[in-house]
Amino acid sequence: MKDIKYIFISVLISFSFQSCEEQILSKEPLDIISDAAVWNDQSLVNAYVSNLYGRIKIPSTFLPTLDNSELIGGEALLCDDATTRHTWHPEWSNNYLFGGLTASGGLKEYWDYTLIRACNVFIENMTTSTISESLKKILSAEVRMIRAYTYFEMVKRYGGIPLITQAQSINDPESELFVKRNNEQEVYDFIGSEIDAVLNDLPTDDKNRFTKFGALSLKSRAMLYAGSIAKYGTVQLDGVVGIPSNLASSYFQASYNASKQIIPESDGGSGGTVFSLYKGDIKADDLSSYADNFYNLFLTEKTVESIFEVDFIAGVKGNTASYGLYGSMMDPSVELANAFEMVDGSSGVIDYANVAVTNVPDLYKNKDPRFRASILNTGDPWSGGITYSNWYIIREDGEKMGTAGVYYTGQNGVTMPTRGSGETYTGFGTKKLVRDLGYIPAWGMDDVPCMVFRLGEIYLNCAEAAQELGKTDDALRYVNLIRSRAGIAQLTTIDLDKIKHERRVELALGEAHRYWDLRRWRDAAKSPVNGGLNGLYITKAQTYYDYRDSKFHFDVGHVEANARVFKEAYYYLPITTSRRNNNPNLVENPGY
Amino acid sequence: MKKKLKRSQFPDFVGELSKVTCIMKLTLFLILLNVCVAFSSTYSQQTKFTLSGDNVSIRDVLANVESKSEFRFFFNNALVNLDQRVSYRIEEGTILELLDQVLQKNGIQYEIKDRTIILSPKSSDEPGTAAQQKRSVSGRVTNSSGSPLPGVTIVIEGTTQGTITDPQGNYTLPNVPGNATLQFSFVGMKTQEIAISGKTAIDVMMVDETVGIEEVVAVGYGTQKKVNLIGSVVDVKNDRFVNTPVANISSSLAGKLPGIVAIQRSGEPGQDAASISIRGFGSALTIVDGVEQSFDQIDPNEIESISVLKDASATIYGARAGNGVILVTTKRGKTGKPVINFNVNSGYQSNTRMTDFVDSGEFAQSYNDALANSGKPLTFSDYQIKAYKYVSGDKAVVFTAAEKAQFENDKANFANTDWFNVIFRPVAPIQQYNLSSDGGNDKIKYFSSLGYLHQQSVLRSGDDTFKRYNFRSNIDAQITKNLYVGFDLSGRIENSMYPGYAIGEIWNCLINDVPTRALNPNPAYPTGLGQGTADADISGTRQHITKVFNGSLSFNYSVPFVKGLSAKARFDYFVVPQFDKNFLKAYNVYNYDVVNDLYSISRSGMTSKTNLTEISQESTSLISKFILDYENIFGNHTVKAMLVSEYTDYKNQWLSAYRTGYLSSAVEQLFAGSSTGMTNNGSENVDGRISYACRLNYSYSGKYLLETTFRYDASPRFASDKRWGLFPSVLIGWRLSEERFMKDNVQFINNLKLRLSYGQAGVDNIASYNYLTGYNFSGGFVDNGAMQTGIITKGLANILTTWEKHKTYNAGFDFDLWKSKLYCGFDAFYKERSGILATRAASLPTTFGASLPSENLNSMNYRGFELQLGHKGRIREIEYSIDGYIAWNKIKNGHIEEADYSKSDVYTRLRYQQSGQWANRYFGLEAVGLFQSQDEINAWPVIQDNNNNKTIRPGDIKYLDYNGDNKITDIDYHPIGKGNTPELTYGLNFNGKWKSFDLAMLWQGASNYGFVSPGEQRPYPYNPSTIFRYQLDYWTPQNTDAKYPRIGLSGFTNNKYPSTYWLIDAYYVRLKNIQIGYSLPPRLFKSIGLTSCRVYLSAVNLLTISNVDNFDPETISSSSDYVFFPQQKTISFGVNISL
Repeated sequence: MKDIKYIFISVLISFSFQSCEEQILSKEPLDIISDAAVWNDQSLVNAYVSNLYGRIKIPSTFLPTLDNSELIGGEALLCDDATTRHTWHPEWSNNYLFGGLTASGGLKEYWDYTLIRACNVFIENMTTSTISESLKKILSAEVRMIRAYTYFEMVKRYGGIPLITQAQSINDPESELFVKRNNEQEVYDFIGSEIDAVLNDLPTDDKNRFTKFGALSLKSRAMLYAGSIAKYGTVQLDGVVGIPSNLASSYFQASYNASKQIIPESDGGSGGTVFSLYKGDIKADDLSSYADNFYNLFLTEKTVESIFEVDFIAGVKGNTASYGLYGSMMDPSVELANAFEMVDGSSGVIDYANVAVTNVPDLYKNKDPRFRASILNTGDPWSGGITYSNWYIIREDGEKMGTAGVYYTGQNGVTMPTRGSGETYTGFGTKKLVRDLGYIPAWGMDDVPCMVFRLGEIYLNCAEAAQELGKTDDALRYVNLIRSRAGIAQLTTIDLDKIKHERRVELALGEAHRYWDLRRWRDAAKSPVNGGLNGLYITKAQTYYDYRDSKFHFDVGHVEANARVFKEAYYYLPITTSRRNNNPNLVENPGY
Repeated sequence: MKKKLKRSQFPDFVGELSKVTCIMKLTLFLILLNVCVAFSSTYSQQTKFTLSGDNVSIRDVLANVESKSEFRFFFNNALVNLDQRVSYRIEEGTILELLDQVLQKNGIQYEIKDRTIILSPKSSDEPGTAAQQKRSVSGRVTNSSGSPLPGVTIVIEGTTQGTITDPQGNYTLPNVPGNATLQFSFVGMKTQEIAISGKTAIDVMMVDETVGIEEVVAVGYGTQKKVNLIGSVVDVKNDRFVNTPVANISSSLAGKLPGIVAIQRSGEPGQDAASISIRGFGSALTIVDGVEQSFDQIDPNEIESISVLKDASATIYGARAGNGVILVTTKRGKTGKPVINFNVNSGYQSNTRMTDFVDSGEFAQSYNDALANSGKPLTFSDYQIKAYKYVSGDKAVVFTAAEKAQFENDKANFANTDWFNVIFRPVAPIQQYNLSSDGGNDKIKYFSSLGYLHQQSVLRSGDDTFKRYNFRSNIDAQITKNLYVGFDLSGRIENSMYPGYAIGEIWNCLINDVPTRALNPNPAYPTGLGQGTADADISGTRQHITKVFNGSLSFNYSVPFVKGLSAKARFDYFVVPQFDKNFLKAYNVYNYDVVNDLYSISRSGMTSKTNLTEISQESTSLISKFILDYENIFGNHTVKAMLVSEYTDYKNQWLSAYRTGYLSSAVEQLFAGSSTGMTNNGSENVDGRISYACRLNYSYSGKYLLETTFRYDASPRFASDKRWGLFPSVLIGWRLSEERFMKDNVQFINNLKLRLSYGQAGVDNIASYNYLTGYNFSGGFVDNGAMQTGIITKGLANILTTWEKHKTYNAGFDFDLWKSKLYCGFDAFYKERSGILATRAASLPTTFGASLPSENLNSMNYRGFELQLGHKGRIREIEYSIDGYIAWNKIKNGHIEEADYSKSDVYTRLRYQQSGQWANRYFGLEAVGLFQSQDEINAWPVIQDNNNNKTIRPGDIKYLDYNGDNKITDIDYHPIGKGNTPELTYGLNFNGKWKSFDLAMLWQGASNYGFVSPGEQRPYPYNPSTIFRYQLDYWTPQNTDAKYPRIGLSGFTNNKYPSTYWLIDAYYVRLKNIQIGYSLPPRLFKSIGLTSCRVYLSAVNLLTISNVDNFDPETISSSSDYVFFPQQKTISFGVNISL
């Protein structure tokens, strides 16, 4: 009897301590794919590459939303193309534009070694992966291009940066983990050699991926940068920044060769018939169709001109490019407006202070059609109506009516800005890369495609490299090809300034070239009269309507209270104190 | 358990009343089949009679009683003379009153056993004097709500003679001397002494002893007598929070429990929970009847008590207990006649503190000033300002003749709209109803409750409402002699309805609405942005529904052959489905042309495309628990032991869908949207936990107390070799008052106890699966028109990740003097918290391309004390109690992973180094007034704007250069005050009773915290937007003695730095609750069958005293935004009815 009691109690106890550990503790998260599964599964390997493509750096015009250090259209605001009303923009609030850039950094930061690591991890894992060899070869080549492109985006900001081509391990010795900066030249050479190494493994016909032509375009651009830096820059810090000037021509040659391999045979290249300048909407003798053509070039996915582009789906992976107009993220400057020539090739400068017109667009009738494709003005058709961007009116009795935020619209008028608190600060609105949606797209709800490389740029790259190499015939030829597509008079002679000017108007605003061009030419620290930025006041020409003569006039003046400041040091962004604290082996760029 | 053990000591009725018992058994069977049936035939000695008769025989009287009640009389004709004639009159009296009148006077004594009344002649051997006459005393003992109390000990004072009440609360004590005093005692109740003074029937109502040492307190997996508690445990019983008209019980805890820091940031219906922390620790584990869940939305009427385990006493919950444990125990049935309670409470709420916006005149003037200061052209002409002032009621306005003529012409253009008043109303109704019933017999007991709450907000549209339905049914049944079964069901539905935008957005919109904008007469065309946003008809609806269902079955088996051993198994199924529906309508805001009565679109509203999002989710937990309990007394040694094993299985899944492209906003359903652009999403996650625990209590003679616990816990969140942890605790106590030398010498000390405890616990809901590497779906790109989904590494893993470790030390004492004339509790604590997840600082260079996973690196420590004092007394007919507490806590960082500041200068270190510093600090600059003139700025040696003070103007804030480098930089920031968590909290309770009136008051407060008013530094945040009236006291050359710096659009950078200028070292004291009740005299409602009826007037947050002037002192909002909803002041009227 006593035994039974003990048995009973033991049963009770063991019942309470029954083990269902297996079932309860063997839980794993349901949303994670294991390491092992990824590398031998073709669709997961593809998905990994999809993620990498999704992370490549593109102009800030195409940001889905504001990010930590950038505003949509930021590159255009950094040079003389535009300004913005959004003074909460980090570049304003931190005074970067006005000489406030310090070793703390914060301007146009891009230090994406996470992406570099992700590429390195991929390249290494491909050596052991069991997916088909042909796919491995193509994907590895593409990922090496993504890596080279990423290094280019970094070297153009900081100069020499550490080249890391293998995924490091936490257990690596400190001497390997705490890397030094490579020389700027080494980084450009790495980009060049990577392109050469994988050129023949790349696909040929997908504008959304790195193809052979995409790789050549990168080479065309990167080598042009290297050439300019060698020619115009200074070697400092034992070559960590700057490239010896004797190497300039070899880089220009490399760029020239790469461009030639893309340019169609009909235009003297060896690129076959794959690409041509987009002329789909041009009607002969109709000047406005040239403007339409240039405008549509940027809103149409995968045109014949596009070499590599990033596409978007609103709301899924969207951008906010069209915020540009309504929200006036980019208010084009008078400097940019005046840069557009007249169709006959004469100066396009308008003396806004002394102009009075009944219809503002009349003023621009004979301007380079690219002007009207890029910049929107009072009186232009938009959104089913006519834009009015009157800063104020002057009544018959001479009284000035209206201020910022309180404005008067003409009958059936569409006021240019409807979001926020006022109009464009300069009197101009951005039209390039802005879709006429009729409303301001919410963050990430726009799908303007982003051409990372297009043939138009390659022509200009080729012209510039040719000019630097003394091949002026080629230089003139390619600039004129661009001008004839634009619909303006041909040049008869060529020089570097004309090429720079052509780049300015062809690649303006959201394409985000000018800021970087001014830097590589070492023009940025020059005064405005010499084509630089230092001391530049962004100029406005705001329209106002005067009832006394029933005409529009322009209020000309400085938009920003202070002059822009571009110090020599700014040709390289600071490595920053925090990165140097994190790795004392990184030497800071000169001047910070 | 205790009660059940005592029940076996009941006198055995079986011999006499076997038939009844048999029926009872049958009844029990029926009860189990159908609970409802079981309670329909309960009888009671409380049954009221109205009977009268003149000169009738006793026999006839008894026959009459038998015919009208279930009572039966037993007697021996030979001994009892029932033919005596009597006259009697009973109005609404009990059987006892009747029998006293009819029998007692006529030499017959009686004894009631169940429904049987046995009559016998009065003992003839009684001595003659009344004092020495012995008689049988009987009666009934009930609790304060009228339910019978079984197991109450009744002893004749000075003797060992006594008895215990039966399950119906009745007792009979034979042979009681006429001058004796009876002592009624029961665990948790106040002991009462009543002189019988010749009476033979004495009914007693026992009252709860709120601070009594016999009180029982819920502790982990069981209860503990307060007298034996060694841990720092505080609790609050139902009567302290029921009848308080607050929707969320968490917000009624402030001031009631020492050591609880409760801060209520919002008063929005459905969002008004207080954030509760124990002693300033992180969020506590809350357990309701053994299931981990929030208690916020439980109907207060369902709750028996809330107890808080603050120190090592929480260790029994191991890896989850680090931040302390809050245990909520719901009510269970008590033996006795069914008691039905009905509570209704209806009142109105309004904002505790709300500040005014400017009117048109003030706006026009100050907005122009702001524009001028910001270098912008002015919006309003002098004439316009005058006109706006005039329409705003400013009588001092003097128009010129020309202006007067113009004003006559265009006065319709000048509006003065109080948008706050358009959107908000002064008061909003709140109603609460609860119907509950409890009762039972010795075999089955039940408690059931049904509650309903309807709360509206002060949003005038009435579209912001919260409705809650609660139900609970707790049933305990004795199946066999040793087996008890508990069956609990509870659930609730919470339904929150808001307009399309949450209150934060509405506020932001309201700030946009300037008073000069005319209000539209047609509500379909809102002219104010906030107006549309706050109205569901215009902006759409946002609905959130939470349903909670909890079912539990428990078995409790008293092992028959081992005294004191019982085994318990409990299974809980807990399911929480939630549903969100967000229908946002596209709408526009209009300009209203008053003169022509025309509307034109001025801008789009907050939504540009009508869209609908629905999210449905469900989480389920399955919890099984097995407990072995042992309790026995061996001479002076009392031993209690408990063994627990607990298994938790958890799963959560959700599904969401989105559509847009609605043709019309009339059909708020998914199908009505376009399939273009529709999206859906969903996921699942799982969790689980295994825990074993044991607790041992030992007490020697009730003097020396020892408790020790061990908990062994495992969680799948950590790697298999890191998932198990052992959490021990040891607590010792010494009841000095039980020592001979104290008992003999200092008799006024009723209780004096010293307590010490140490325990280790953890927090494990951190870093789920941090030990695994792998890939998540993320990102991707568009390839030929189709989105290609990507995968991305989830980062480096840390296989060593484990729970946070908390070591708690507590020392305290309690004393009770002169029978609760003065009682006190004191606890001091120190806690070390280590293993807080952090990423190693300065470890990998950024070029590595991956960050280190978080590791258990950081530590913090906590210290503080709680002091509680109370007093109970009686002044004539006024019974009262008063108790209060003060609690203080302060948190210090231990090790924090950060850069090495050892070589930095003292200011840099002060600014950035966190290790070893006090937490809860506010960093900023020290303001030293406003610049009064340009000369003063020119002479000021400190560069404040990094631009030679060129941007500084008179009326800007002047700062002290803290580090002496003559410029204001980030390094000049230093601790200038406390953070926003109060370090000192206090509460004061008063309860009083006079005749039928009762009064309860709760004062509560907090201090030693920093407060920054929402948006104060940023007047006119948008262009255009409005400001608060108090902000008008800004600096101008004419108003140099201003409170605020010069005004500008969005303020000026120099004036927006966090500084002493804006920080308030805040305190508040509020009358959290006051209640005045009146119990109606029974004669008023007896005839309609009620047993008690109390009406009361109650108010919450009636009075707030604080140095925070313009906002509720608990409000938190960022300094740049206006996202808040003040706490609510509620005044309500309520009725409690029992039958």
